[in-house]
Amino acid sequence: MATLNLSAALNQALDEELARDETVFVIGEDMARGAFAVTKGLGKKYGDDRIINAPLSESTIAGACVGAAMMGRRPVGEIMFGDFLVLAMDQIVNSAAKVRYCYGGRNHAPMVIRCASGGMGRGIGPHHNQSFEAMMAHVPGLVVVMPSNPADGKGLLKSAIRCDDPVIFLESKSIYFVKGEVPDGEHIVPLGKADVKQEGTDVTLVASGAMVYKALKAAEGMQADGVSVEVIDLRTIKPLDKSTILKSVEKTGRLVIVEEACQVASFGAYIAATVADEAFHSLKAPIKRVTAPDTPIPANTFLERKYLPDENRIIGTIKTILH
Amino acid sequence: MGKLTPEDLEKMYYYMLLTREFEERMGKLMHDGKFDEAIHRSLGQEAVCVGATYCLRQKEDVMVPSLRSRAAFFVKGLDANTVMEAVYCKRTSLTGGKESSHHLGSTEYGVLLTTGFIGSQFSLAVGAALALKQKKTDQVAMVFFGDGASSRGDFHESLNMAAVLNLPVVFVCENNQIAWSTPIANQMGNVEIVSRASGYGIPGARVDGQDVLAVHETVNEAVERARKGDGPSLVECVTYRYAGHQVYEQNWRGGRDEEEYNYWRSRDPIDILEKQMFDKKQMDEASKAEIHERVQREIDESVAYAESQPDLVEEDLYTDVYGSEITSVSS
Repeated sequence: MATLNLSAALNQALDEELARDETVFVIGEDMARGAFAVTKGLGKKYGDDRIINAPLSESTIAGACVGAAMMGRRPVGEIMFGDFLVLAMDQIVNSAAKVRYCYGGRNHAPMVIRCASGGMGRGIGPHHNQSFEAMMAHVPGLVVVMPSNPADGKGLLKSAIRCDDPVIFLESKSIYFVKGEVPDGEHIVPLGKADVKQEGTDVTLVASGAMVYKALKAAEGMQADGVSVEVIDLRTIKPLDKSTILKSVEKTGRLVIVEEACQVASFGAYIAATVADEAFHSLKAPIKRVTAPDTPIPANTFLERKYLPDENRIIGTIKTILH
Repeated sequence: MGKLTPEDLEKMYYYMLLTREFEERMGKLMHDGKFDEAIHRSLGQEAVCVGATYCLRQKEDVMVPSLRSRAAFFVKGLDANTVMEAVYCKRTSLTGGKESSHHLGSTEYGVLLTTGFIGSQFSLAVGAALALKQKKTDQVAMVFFGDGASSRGDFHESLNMAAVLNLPVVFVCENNQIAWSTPIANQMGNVEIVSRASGYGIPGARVDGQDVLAVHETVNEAVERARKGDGPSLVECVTYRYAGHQVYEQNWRGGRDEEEYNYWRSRDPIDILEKQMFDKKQMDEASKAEIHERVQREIDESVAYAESQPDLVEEDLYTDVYGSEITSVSS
């Protein structure tokens, strides 16, 4: 067990998978440095053939991953900022997600696209701080993962690399350098399994990525008022671990979903619809969502703090459904 | 591949004729309402895919088709039955019946799946070539594309990346001088697509796309370069599409004047090879008739075969989206 930040834990996962399986390779821009140091040092260790420094060509980075994956390799493509996914969208949506389907099950695309996602301040705003998990989850054939801590980051990335379907791996930028205990060596976190971070009996709080910290803080705040909050970290957005959420809502009768993405057609809306559909009679209050507004994310850091959900907004929302 | 033997020429003739007759039959079958696929044909362009694909090792090398590369499927080893059952979208076809026959993938014959997006195939070939390079083999990848696809940003990205990474890939342009209905002069400032090769620092060549032997010779140099580890090349084959973009436009001339159309019809790739073979005494009326009969027989059989294959059932709607690992957690 070592104390590492998320970036170092992801680096360790890549390192271990590159060493374990010679079909694994990494391709992206500025690999030697790595925008958030996730690929740091790997080029020296594994060489140019496996840590591939690509020109500024997101569409071809993603497409090359698909082509290589169809040939039996396990590429890990890095699209530096999640915002740039839109440049690679054709290859992700039309090629990667449909390989298994269009081959009639005779081939598949075992590949990962990693991105730095969501808000982080630093005034990088509307084009570098967006959250696209809902957009990606809408595409049949893709798996979407959002780790919230270093240990999960390592275990989920290892699972993603070993997965036989294309995985979009969204790394919350604001928690890259938050430290935590990370198990050494073979540490696997299964895809599609949520984590109950804290048990509670009055309200279920569902979050993912950086929002898990805000949810935990809000739960702590509510505890002072004698309200017991259960916090669920989704870990995988798609496939959604429905049963963990439903089980919790059947116990608490109240659901609040926290997400960094914009409100309209968000993934939380899908969770709300699913719970309304499958656990309606357990609900004691309306399902609530705490999201970003339906606006771009601003560069101004004061305004960004107002844009992103925080513990105060979560607490305020919980209080509206308690009685 | 070294010097072509008389048997090679006979095979190339067979592949071109099979493609031509297969596509003519597809048109009739579709007109008769036998299947729903909106077919896009390569009538007049057969020499490009046959000459180029014939440079490849049938199973080992990788072929990435364009929308109009039906001949390349045949040369790569997929037979008429396999392609026809895909045209009929049958349950047993290589696509599982859920994708059109233009975008067949075959792991057995080194045919990579592509999508319905013109020009999205470039980067798939880059990835395939990357995989081959990593395996340290002398296998190569070849990707076909039309003049229209050369206007996509992915053309630029992929040729550039292939050059930077020195990948074993050959980019073969089937320049039929028209994109759906837009003539090439209205698509690009410089109609010689080969001129772009120098911009990426890679070799380029332009060849008569109606002469299958010329195509083969030129593409072969590029393939050998890639095999030796000397990186990618661009080969532009100038050809002509007799019919419309897709089969509904069977008698469409796209505003192209009669003189132009007749000129290209007079340079039919099958006629050209036939004459070359007759001149070299490598074909006579009897051997020609034999190939024609074989082609008709195989197409007849492929139709009967495709029609006898099972159709999809409603349950198939849900299969082959995810592997069992994901299906088991999402159920």
